[in-house]
Amino acid sequence: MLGNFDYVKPKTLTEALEYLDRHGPESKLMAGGTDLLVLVRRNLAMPAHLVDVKGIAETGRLEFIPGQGLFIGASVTVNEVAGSEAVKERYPALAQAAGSLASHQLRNRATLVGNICNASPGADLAPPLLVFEAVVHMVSLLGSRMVPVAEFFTGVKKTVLRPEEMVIGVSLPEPPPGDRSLYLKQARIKGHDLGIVGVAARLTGEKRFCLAMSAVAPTPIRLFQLEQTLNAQPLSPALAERAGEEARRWIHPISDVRSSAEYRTHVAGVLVKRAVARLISGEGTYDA
Amino acid sequence: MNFKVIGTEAPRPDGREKVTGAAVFVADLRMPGMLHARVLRSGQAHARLRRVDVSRAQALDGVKAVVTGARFQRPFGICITDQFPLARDKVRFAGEPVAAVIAVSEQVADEALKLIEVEYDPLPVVLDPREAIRPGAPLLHEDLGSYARVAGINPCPGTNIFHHFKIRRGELEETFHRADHVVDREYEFPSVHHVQLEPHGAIARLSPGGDLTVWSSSQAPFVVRHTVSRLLGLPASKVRVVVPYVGGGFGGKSDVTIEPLAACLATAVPGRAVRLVLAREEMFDGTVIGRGLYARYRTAVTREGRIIGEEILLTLNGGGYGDYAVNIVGGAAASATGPYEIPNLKIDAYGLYTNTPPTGACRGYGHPEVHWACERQREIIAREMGIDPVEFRLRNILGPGKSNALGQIMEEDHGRVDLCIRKVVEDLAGPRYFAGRGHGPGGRPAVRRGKGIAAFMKAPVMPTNAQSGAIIRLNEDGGATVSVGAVEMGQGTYTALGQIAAEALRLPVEMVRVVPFVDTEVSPYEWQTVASHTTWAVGNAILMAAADVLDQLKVAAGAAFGVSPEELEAGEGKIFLREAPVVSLPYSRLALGCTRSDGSAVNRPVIGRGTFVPSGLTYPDPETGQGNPAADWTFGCQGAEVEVDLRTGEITVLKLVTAIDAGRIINPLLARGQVLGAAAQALGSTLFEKLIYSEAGIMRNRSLTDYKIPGPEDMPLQTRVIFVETPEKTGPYGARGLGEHGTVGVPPAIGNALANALGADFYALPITAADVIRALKGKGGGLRAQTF
Ligand SMILES: Cc1cc2nc3c(=O)[nH]c(=O)nc-3n(C[C@H](O)[C@H](O)[C@H](O)COP(=O)(O)OP(=O)(O)OC[C@H]3O[C@@H](n4cnc5c(N)ncnc54)[C@H](O)[C@@H]3O)c2cc1C
Repeated sequence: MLGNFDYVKPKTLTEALEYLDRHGPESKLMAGGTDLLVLVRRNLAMPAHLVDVKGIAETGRLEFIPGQGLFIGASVTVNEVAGSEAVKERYPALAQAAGSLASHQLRNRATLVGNICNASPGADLAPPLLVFEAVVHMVSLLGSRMVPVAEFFTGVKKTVLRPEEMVIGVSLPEPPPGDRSLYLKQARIKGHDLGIVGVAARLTGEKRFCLAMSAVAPTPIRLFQLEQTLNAQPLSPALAERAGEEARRWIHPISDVRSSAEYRTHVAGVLVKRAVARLISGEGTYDA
Repeated sequence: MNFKVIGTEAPRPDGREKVTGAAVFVADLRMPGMLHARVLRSGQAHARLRRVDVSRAQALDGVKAVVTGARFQRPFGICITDQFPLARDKVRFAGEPVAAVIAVSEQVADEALKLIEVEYDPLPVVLDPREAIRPGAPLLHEDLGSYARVAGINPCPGTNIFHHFKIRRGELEETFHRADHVVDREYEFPSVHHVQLEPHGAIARLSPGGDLTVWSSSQAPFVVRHTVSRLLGLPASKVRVVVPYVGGGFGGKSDVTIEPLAACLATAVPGRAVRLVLAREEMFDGTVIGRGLYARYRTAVTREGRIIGEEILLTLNGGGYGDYAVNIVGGAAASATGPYEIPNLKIDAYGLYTNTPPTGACRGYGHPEVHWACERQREIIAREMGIDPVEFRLRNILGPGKSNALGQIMEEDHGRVDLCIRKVVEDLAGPRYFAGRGHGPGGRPAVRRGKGIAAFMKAPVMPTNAQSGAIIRLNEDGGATVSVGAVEMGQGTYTALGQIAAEALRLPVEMVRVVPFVDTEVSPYEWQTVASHTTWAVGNAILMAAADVLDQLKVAAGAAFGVSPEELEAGEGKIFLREAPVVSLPYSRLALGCTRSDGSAVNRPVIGRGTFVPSGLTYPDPETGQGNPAADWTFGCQGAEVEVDLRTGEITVLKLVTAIDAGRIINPLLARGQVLGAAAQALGSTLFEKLIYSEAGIMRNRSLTDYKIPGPEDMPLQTRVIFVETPEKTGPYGARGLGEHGTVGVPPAIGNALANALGADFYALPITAADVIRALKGKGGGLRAQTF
């Protein structure tokens, strides 16, 4: 049952930041509320103030500017991301991950920024943002800063965000032509469910691999070492096999009610192998 | 017979209301001055209650009463009176109500719950019925021997066994001696939850005049009335139970769940209605759960493939209280052989107290559990003996003249399980059904396909004298209003019953309305809406009530025409002279009393009455289990084709076929819906569902984030329902029960298909992708999997 809290919906960024400056530690920012309200209802989060970001005009921006890249504001819903032509064309892994998150109804409320700020190890949208080397834009009254998403997560449900700070949006550089990417997810049921493992894989036009995973470590992770190994080899089916084998060495999954660590480890390897094989065979291509 | 309404796809009268959200459920009801209750639930699975201090909660603004077990000293229980509305002395499962707050709002009540202090002395916890049965296991009910109980229940005081049911036929030892082959296996069907769409809700009010009303989401309003009247010492006539639409029951709202508590709470604030509606999480550990059976099967077979004997041990997890699990014990034993004739049998079924939430009825009531075991066992025997599994089943199949485990001799009208098997096999791909393991399409090596079948049977598990009633009032327009005591919980019962009434009254179906709620004060008595017996039993009561109506109409028309009633016929809403049909009177003229030209009344208003009780049912013999407790049997067969991804282990059910001999089908559309819905539910228990507990007995997946049920994407790509319609001689227009049956054969059909696809036997449900991978890596072991 809900505890008591004040709800505010600032109309401007300054208003929001001033509010956070005064009440930051006792506040929670709210976008779709699909993570937050579940916690509040179970009394696992008991904020005194709920600050709704959806009234701030800047947060509604979803824009692709050729030559610059993609900007996804903090109020942009997961369905807007999944349905965006620019995302589907240039960032297929992101569109696929967005389409795999929860149900259509839920995606109408859930936001991409909420997904990463919640910092669940299983966040579906983190792996694609990791492989596209997205940058998180944060602001507070003291100013703004930009942090690569790979440095954004610090632990289970923990990020570099300070209490008085908010994320205004996320930007993704424009992938050069010839870029391929995809997202694979294994869950308990075929219907909507949190992932047991999620894998985003990208093969750039210069044949450089980027791999990232969710639900296999305390935070979503980018597999830098594995990428290096792969990038040193010629593209071949054997490479996919090797990627799958080696991926298992770089992850630290746990056992929970959704899956055993043993199965997570196993299926992580399978998905990495599949993703790499499919990229090599030309799937997930963006042709400019 | 030429039917006008039976066998048609009459639309649901409640359809529009439900799809538009206008239909009213208990949680929608608001009473003047209504208060709200919330429950403090035990965080311990087994403990003595040392102290419950509610003083701080009581002092909170807006709190009207805080109630603990100290206030209510009378126990209740349908079969064994082993529980209290609020824990006294001891808690026996995590989730058991320890105290309740009644306040002006749920929020205030919730705040107050946090102020209640409880001290426990923890006791050792036992969660597995196989451990609970062992000597020296932690004892849950020290006073089991002194509990009142109904006839036929056989508890063993000093142990956790609340019921031991036996079946003994023939000579077992000698049979195993002369067997050519013996197969001995163990199976597990874990505890699951029903996950009804509508949460359990009850509103109770004690009037200043001292009578009590309970509005409830119950499948069993008359059981609630009985229980509450005994608990509070009120005459049954002073307890009124009202049930509007129910949003899914599946057995989990049968007998009583939260109603005794709601009624007791109402006595703490006389004159005020108290509303108790559970949160989703509370439905998991605050009501009843389902299934939870371990089975061991030892089967003796001859070289010719005849099953000559079987020894079966069933260990059912009953949870903290016996509840309605008591009768699952006997029901499971009675069907444990599956639809086969086995001359020599020794079946022992035990119901065990453990520290999980209590087990209650759950769609299928013991039958899916035992069929998971027996139909896997049949498949394994056939394989080990090199006999085609279809042929093996048919060699041993039950049929007319043969006797089942209870000693009942099957008759022609019991239906054709052999035909159901043949139809499923034919549909699954003709005689090559058993060709063995197959690769995926195009010979994809990383994918395997397999097919499997499972035959089944089910009887309603019910008291020998389960009563039903119907009242038909004829209205001034010639239409009819039908009252029954059965509950509409989504299954479409009012549609089917309306069709039966329309056919019997010779009225168009639109002219018949079945009253869309139950109110024990005005509705005729009904045992409860369970056991797939409503169409059959209430349908019979309706036939009698309709016959009563027609008799009254004929007497009235006879008086009007000056002829004897025997010369009259009913048809198309009229009573007419058989010899000269133009001489007729419409029902509308007769319904409320027809008058002559001088104004004098010819007849009294027409109200028909019908009551039904099954005839000839008897208690099984306590030593041998032999007797006649099962009123009718519905037979069927289910088949599945599965595809397995050998890399991820993911299982896809490509096709699910059900052939069922449910007698005459009253409404094919609804009947198919019931069979498919049941199959989907069972698919969930086969592939994903299981309640998980910590070692201390805390349920770890008591939410829909952590407990997944199948969604539309999980449904088989292809589903088929085939009706074989051997009319049931005891049923209305030849109908038999079918609501639960679609659950019974699905788990073994899929299990057998997986065995055929993978060369691995799975013995425990659910079978997950992880289990497949372990099996493929040869890491199965135990009940999880073994390769062959
Ligand atoms: C039924 C259901 C199914 C789900 N399925 C999935 C799934 O399949 N995959 C998946 O990854 N997730 C899933 N989720 C989780 C959730 O829906 C997603 O994480 C979603 O993207 C969260 O977005 P939101 O806008 O609702 O976040 P909110 O709940 O509003 O916020 C989440 C967190 O981020 C913080 N926050 C929000 N906005 C900002 C901001 N601008 N700056 C700083 N902090 C901010 C909040 O304070 C909060 O801590 C599911 C949730 C539900 C209820």
